[in-house]
Amino acid sequence: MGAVLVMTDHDDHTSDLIVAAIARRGVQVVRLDPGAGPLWADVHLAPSGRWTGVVGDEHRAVRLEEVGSVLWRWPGRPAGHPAIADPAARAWAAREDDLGILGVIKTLPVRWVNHPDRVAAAGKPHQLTTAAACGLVVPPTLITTRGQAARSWAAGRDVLYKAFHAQGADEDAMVTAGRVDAAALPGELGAASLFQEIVPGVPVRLTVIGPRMFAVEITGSRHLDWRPEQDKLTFTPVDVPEQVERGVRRFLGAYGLEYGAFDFIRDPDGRWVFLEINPSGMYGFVELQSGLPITAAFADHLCESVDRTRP
Amino acid sequence: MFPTGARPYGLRHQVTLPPALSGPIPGITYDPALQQNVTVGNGLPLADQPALLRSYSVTWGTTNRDNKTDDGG
Repeated sequence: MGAVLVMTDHDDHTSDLIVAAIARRGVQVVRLDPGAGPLWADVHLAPSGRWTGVVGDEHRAVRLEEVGSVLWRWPGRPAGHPAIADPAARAWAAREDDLGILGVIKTLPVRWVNHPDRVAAAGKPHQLTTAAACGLVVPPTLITTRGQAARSWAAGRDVLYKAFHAQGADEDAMVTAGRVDAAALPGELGAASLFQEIVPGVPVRLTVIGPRMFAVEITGSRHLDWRPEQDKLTFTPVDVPEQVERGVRRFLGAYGLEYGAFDFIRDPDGRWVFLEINPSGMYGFVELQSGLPITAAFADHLCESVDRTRP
Repeated sequence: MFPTGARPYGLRHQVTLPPALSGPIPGITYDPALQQNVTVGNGLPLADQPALLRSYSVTWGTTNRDNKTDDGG
């Protein structure tokens, strides 16, 4: 059984749950955050073509050839060695660390949850085409920069706006999915904007880790977007329809993802309509509110010994 | 033409999150030896404090990170 390398920042408290669960299993776990301080590395390319050697921070290190899986969530960006006084030189060093050290880690032929390149491939527009190709139901969707186009498209429909990235322009703000008053749309939107037909029904969060699926229906939200009022919500475990499970498996396989937090709407006819997947999404709130053993499934999946030749 | 100085339409849907969703948990610090966050003073791991985790959804649902995908933190 190999070591588990966890790449994430110190504020990722969900990873605390996973680190604790792995440690309880007696498996070596090494948590590194390149944004918290410089990493060091001493690695060489073995004849097998695999990078071998040691990567670590000031507290611990891991031999890359002993790594069995990588949990890659939100590692901070390297900032360059703090002893480098010249900002330009430090920025240069940070970029070298990023490309060199993180670049080496990204080559590890082990189980990835999830490899950042696979995550980057799963942009929101791409997700919708992939979901449709995998047999999942997707809502009618428009992406435009023109308000007039959105007004025309929205005529006769109940429509929402949703940002491609939920983080707002301000630090403690998010851009929620919200119902659109088509008549109030400006002529030009100022950014690529996604509009979607509103699917009536119950939100479902489906958390998938390796072979395990955990689905909950979410009730109690007064708004289309439940995320800003999570303390008012109830999470009720539900079964995943077989057809949805097949589509989700195909979807994850298409990207090579081992983990995903999917959002669906279960419509009045019982159809699950795909909205999106968050490949690095949180899950702790689901576990704590529903009791579903998602952390244990994470730890099980990461601790499995896997031998692969390509990341 | 998009008016000079205007804000993108999408930001009309921006909401400010309450501190329990977006703010740090008071009295918590990262313990590099344990590789987890712990309560200052008694060193109790955050992972062993479900009530605290529930109180601050930054720990169980960090809303503004839920969609964080490819921007590396």
